[in-house]
Amino acid sequence: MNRFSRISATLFGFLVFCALEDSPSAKSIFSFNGVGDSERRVDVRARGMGGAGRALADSQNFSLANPALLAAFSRAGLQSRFFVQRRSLNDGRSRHVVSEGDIGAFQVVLPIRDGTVIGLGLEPLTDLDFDLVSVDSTSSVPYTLRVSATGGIQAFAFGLAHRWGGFLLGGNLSVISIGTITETWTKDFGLHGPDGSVGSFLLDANNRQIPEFLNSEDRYVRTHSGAQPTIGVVYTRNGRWFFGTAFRAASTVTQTRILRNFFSEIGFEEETRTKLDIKMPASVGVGLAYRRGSRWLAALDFERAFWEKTETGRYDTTDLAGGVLYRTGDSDPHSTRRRVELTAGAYYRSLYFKTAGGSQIGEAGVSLGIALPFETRGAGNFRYVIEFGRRGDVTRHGASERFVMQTFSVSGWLN
Amino acid sequence: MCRRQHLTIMLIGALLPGCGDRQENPVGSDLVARGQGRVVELPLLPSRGGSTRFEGTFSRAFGESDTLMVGRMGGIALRSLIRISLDPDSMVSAASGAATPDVHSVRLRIWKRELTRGIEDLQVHRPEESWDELDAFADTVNHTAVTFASSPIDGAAVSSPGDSLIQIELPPEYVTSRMLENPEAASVDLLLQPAAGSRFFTSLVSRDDARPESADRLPELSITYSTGGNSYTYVADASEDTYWAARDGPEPGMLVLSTIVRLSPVFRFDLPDSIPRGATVTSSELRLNYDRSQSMFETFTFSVERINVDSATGDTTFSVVNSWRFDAQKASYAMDQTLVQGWLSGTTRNLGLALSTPISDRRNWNVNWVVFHSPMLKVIYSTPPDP
Repeated sequence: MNRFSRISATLFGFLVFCALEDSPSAKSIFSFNGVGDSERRVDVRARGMGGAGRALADSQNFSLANPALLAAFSRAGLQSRFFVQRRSLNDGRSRHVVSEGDIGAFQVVLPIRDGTVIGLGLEPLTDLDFDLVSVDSTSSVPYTLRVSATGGIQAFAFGLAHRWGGFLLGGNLSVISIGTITETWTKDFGLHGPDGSVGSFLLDANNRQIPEFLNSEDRYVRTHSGAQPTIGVVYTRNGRWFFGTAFRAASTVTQTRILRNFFSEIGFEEETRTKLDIKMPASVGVGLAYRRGSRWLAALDFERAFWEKTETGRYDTTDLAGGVLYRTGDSDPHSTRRRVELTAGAYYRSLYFKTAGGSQIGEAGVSLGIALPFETRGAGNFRYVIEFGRRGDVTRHGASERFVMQTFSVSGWLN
Repeated sequence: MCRRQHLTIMLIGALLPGCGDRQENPVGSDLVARGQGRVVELPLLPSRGGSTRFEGTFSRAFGESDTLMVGRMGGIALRSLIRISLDPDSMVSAASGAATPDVHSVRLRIWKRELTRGIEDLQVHRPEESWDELDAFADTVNHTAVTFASSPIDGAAVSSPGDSLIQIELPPEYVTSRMLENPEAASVDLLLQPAAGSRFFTSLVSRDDARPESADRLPELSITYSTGGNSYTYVADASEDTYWAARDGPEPGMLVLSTIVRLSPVFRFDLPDSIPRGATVTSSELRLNYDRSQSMFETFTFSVERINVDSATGDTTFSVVNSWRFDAQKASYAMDQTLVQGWLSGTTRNLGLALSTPISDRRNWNVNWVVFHSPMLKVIYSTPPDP
């Protein structure tokens, strides 16, 4: 088995493992209102640097935020990632811990001729993960409400970039045709009694069971279709300073909304389908990176997304990130010692969701990462990033969550 | 332990938090800004277009029943037959071998059981057809009651001294003529039936009633006669008795559910337009209020049936939704939510409901009937959450 086959086999196994999970990515208690939490379109290395790296065109950057980064690749490469997250939720009345794991973006980079590179990938744009149980005793028939929402908007990403000396220019089209958001609302009338009994069934003369109250189970399945283009440019001077900027255009996406109640789920009656247009926001990002020798990298990014124009009550968002990378070992290309990368960073970003208190939700976090190269130098690496952070405020937003997220990725390059 | 093993253990440990837990999350109810849908209990829906359908008469011989029934109520007429076999030899021997006795009075004493409704207006007829206790008085092919010829006995008088005793005074010549017609095996046959236009129901103690309290209340015929200047009394028990039920109406608009004479009420409920598309029926109950004064039942089973019409053939069919044991103390009967849901979504046409008494259930092999007031439908539904 040659090197690329080994990498492919590793990635394939990794993807199979990831496929056992349900949906992509960030996951926040606030993600229920809207179309999910918007994904930060950066790769795992950038996550280890706080999410900065929109300008870092060093042929190892798989970030989709700036398609011009593709042009830096001189070798074919691919990357996949998986993350696990543990969140501590608090709404001032109760606390709850949620653990979950998911697959992230998957990207392939293919240089097709000198200076021209294409990129293909599977890209999560938004992610939604919410579940709740609460008791409604004000209704004429008291019930326990269960809400479960998962999924997100995903896209196939097609990118093309070209390099002219110190200028790298690229474009990317995210074709939104996959990814669904599924919400299930259950009104459970079989309230648990003090003896642990659940609901009641009536037995008719033919011993046929009839629930005294049939639980309602309403499911909204939302699918999406549309496209959103991004263009970006990076300028580098002597490979030491990098300046990059990217612009993602606003777009209108068609959402097909399918409502299924309990009876349509069992095929007794027709589901209800409606179509409507939803807006995805434009965004603009800029980045600055500095490389000092073969050991140090530093990056600083800023991005603004214009969510206010997509729906009344939403907020424009800001993402500010900065981080450093330190590479151990010998820079001599003939050296047999492997080089380990250590990263650190911090970020702050605001979220677009409407809030009852009229106050925008913020998220702040720090990250640490390590990359362990494969035994064969230059073939790829395994990267691990851990992030700690906090979103929201109980008083102003009704809830807050602390999170610890661990991201694992495998990257490979082919000479 | 080598570095690689350390790394593997660390990786496994790091992945474990991602295995997830499925405990329900109570945090974040304030974050659900969208309406979760309402639970609506509709005001009771009245039935419309009620009528009673005749499904046929179930053939059943009541010769060994411990009751006899007479009356007319709820679209059913009940008639009882009693036969008292006479022993002329015994009467003659009691008169010391004298000639034909001179009958002075003939009295039949029968007792009521507990079940009595209305004002009694009992008629005594002479059967003009042969019968026995094994007769079902029903056409088993067409499921209809057979006609039974009889004629009034002139001079017969019915009285009811006290609450439970019914005395029937028969003209002496009726008995005398029977004895003359068949000196060897004379019998007195009587048909008890409701007078035209009367509305009552009486349950009588039959000769097969084995209850201890009925030991001295079995039907009894006493004949007072004299011969040679001496008076004698001859007493005889019923040798055969039975009754049968036949369709007799019901009046238009009356909703009757009955066994044996299988009357089936049909009615429909119009659902309001206010129920939104996508709603889920969480509870549907049939409210059956009945008229105690016009109903008579013990234990029986009924089915709630959906009425269907085949669009191609126009044939009407009935699909059983649920079956319940009718309960005197209970007014509400739950129905499978699919029934009303089907009407709501248009999956099934709302052609109404029928109540029926399945003959496969042995509990329905006795005579029962229930006269309903307008049935009502209680519906609770849940609307979908806001989109």
